Amino acid sequence: MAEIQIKQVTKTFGRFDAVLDLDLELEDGTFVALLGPSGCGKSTTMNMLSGLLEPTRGEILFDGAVVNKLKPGDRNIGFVFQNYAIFTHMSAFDNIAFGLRVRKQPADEIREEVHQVARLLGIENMLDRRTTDLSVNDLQKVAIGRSMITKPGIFLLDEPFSNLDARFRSYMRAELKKLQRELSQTMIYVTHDQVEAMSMAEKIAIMDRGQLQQYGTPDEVYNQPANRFVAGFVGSTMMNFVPTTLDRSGGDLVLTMPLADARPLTVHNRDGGDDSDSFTMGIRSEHIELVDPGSETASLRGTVTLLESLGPRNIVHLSSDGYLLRVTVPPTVRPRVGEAVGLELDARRVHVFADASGTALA
Amino acid sequence: MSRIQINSVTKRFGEVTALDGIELDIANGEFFCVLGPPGAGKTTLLRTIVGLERPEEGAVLIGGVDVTDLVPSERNVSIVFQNLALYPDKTVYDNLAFPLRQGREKVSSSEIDRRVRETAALLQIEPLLKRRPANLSGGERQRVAIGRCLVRAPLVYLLDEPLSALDALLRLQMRAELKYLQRDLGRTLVYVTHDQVEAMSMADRICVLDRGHVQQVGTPDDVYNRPVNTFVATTVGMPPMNLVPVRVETGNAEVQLRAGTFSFSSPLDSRIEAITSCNGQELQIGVRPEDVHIGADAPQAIMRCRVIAVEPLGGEAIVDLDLDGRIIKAMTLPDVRFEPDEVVPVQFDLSRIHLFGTEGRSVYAAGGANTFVPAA
Repeated sequence: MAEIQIKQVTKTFGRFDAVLDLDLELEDGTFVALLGPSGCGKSTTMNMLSGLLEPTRGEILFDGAVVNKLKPGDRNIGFVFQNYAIFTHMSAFDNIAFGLRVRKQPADEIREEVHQVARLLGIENMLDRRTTDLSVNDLQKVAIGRSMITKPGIFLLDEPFSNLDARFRSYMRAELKKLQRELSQTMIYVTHDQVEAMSMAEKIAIMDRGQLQQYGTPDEVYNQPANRFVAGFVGSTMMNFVPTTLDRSGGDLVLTMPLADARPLTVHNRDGGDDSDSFTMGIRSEHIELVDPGSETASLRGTVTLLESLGPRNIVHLSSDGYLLRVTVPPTVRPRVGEAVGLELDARRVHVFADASGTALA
Repeated sequence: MSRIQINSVTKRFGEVTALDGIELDIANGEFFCVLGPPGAGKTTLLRTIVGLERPEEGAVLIGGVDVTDLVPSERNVSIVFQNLALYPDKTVYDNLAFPLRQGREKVSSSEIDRRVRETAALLQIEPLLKRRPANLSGGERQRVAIGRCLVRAPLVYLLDEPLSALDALLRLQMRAELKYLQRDLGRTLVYVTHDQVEAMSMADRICVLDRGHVQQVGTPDDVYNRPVNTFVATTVGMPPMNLVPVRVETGNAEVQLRAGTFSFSSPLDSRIEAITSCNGQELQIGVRPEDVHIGADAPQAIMRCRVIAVEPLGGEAIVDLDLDGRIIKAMTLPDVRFEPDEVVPVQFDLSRIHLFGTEGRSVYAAGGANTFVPAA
C-alpha cells in the first residue's frame, strides 16, 4: 500500500518533452487510470513510476520518500504488461509461486497463497497445467496472479487487456475492479481506451502531448470536461462541436451558432473566456433530442446522412450546414437518410470552449 | 454485377477444418460483415473469396461466374489487410498508382493520374499525395491503404479488420466514413471483424461465424433481436446478453420457468409451443443488459440482488448484480447511483426475453409481446 506524489516531473528525450511539469497525487489504495492517445506520455510516466526511467526534473515520492534513484526491484511494485511475461516451461502454479520462492518462503505457505490468488482469479483448477496448454485469456490471469501474489504496494498495469477478445475484456474489467477492491492496493492502469478507464478507475488522469489535461472521477471528466481535448476524447460517441458566438449582455449567456436555420440558445452564464475571441459549443449525442424541423425548440436543423443501429440505441448522423453531428436515439427511432430533422439541445448540458486555449468556461 | 455466392465451401488445413460447408449469398452492392472471434474462419473465408486459398470442396461465384479456379488477379477483387501494406519508399501518390501500373490491363498515365486524384479526393487525402507513409498519422495511412483498394474500381472490395490498428476515436470516425464511401461507390463490400460494434453499425447484413460454421446471417436487427442461438446472442451486443438457467415445468393450462429464487409463468398458447416439449429440462433465459431494470425502474420486481460493482460509462452505467450466485449485468441511466453491496429490486422486461434450449438453440423470443408474467 502506498501513496504516490508526482511533483513537477519532466522527462526529456533529446529536445522532446515526453512528459512536461506533471503534478499528480494518488491516494493510498485508489484505482487510477492514465488515459490518452499514443504519444501522450502515459507510458513514460508509468516507466518513471516503475523505475525504468529517471525523471529529468522533479520528484516522485512513495509514502513521502523520494524514489527517483531507486531501482525497480527496490520499489515494491508489481507489473502486468500487454504482452504477459510468463515462463512457458513452468506450470501455472510455478509461475504464480515464483515471486514467493525467490523470497524463500516456506513451501506450505506458498501453496496456500498460490491457491488463494488462483481462487480470486478463477484459475484454481488450472494450476497444474503447463502454460502452453492455457488460452490467451487464462495466461493473462496467470500473469496478473504472478504479479499480485508478492503483495506489492503499487500495482502497475500497462494495457493488459488489449490482446484479449472483446467479450473477455468486458469480463476482466469487472474482475479486476473487484480484485482491486478486495486487495485495496494502489493500482495504476495505463490505457488509450476510454471505456476501460471510465468503467474501472476511481480517478482518471488524462494526458495529451506530455501534459496533464484533467484529473478527476469518471463522472467529472465526462460531465465537466476541463477542455476541448478531454471533451472530445472521453465518451464512446464523440462530442458534437459547433462554432458559436457569445452574448452575456442580458445576464444569461446566449449562444448564437453561425449555421443556417440556427436559433439562439440561452444557457446559464459562465466565467472565463476573456482571452479568446472565438468559441465552440459542445454537446454530447445523448443530450440532443430529435424534433420536428419546424419546432420552436429546435436550436439547430439538419439532414440525416446515416443511421447506425447499435442494439440498445441508434446513432443518427446528420449534416447541419456542412457540420456533421451525431444524436443518440432509442432503437425504435429510425429516421430515413435524407430526412430533415430539428435538434433540441439540452441547455443544461451544453459546454462552451474558448478556442484560444481550448479551456471550458465553467 | 458483383453478387458473391459461396456454395458449400469447405477449406481444411491439415486436420483443421477452417471452413465447413459454408453457404452464403451476398447481394450486389451490399455491405456485408463477417463477425466472429479469433479462429472463427473469417480471414480464411476472405482469402477464399480473393483467391489466396483454394477450397477442397465447393465453389465461389462472383457476378455469376465460377472463379474457384481463377488466380486473384483474374477475379477483379480488391483487398485491404489488417496490417497495412504500404510501400515505405513510395509517396502516397505512387502507392495509390501502384495497382494501376501493375494491373493486367494497360492504363495510360493520364488515366492513372485522373483516378489517383479522384480517389484521393474521395478519401480527403489530396494534400498528402507527395508525402511518404512514415510522415503520415495512423488514420492517414489507413486511408491510403483503403485508397489503394478503391483506385482499381473492382467488382468487389474485401476488408480484413482494417480499423483494428487505429485508436478508438479514429475508428469511430472511420466507421461512418467507410459507410458513406461504400454507399457512394455502390459496390459490394465484404468486411471482416471481431468487433460487434463495427458490424452492427456498418453492415446491411451480418454473418456470424464460429469454428468454420455459419451461425446466422441477418440484418443487425435480426442478429441483435432474434439470435438463433446463445453464441450469436452473446457475440452481438456489449455487454453480452445475460444467460440464466431455468427449469421448465409444463402444467395443464400454463408453463412455468423456475429458477433459484424466482419464477415466471405463461398461459399455454401457440407462441410458447416449442417450450412445452422442453418440460423438465433446463433452459436458459436470455435477457439483454438494457432489459434488466433495477431500483426505481423495477416496480414489479420479484427478485432482489446485491450490487457487486458499478461501471460508469458516461452515457450509461453497467451494474453487476449477484443473482443466485451468478453475475448478471444491467444497463442503467447514469444519473441514478448504485453502490456496491447495496441490495436492489430487479426485474426483467419479460416482453424482451429469449429462451435457449439444447445446444443453446433459441426456442422462444418474446419479441415485444408479454407472454410470461412474474409468478407468485
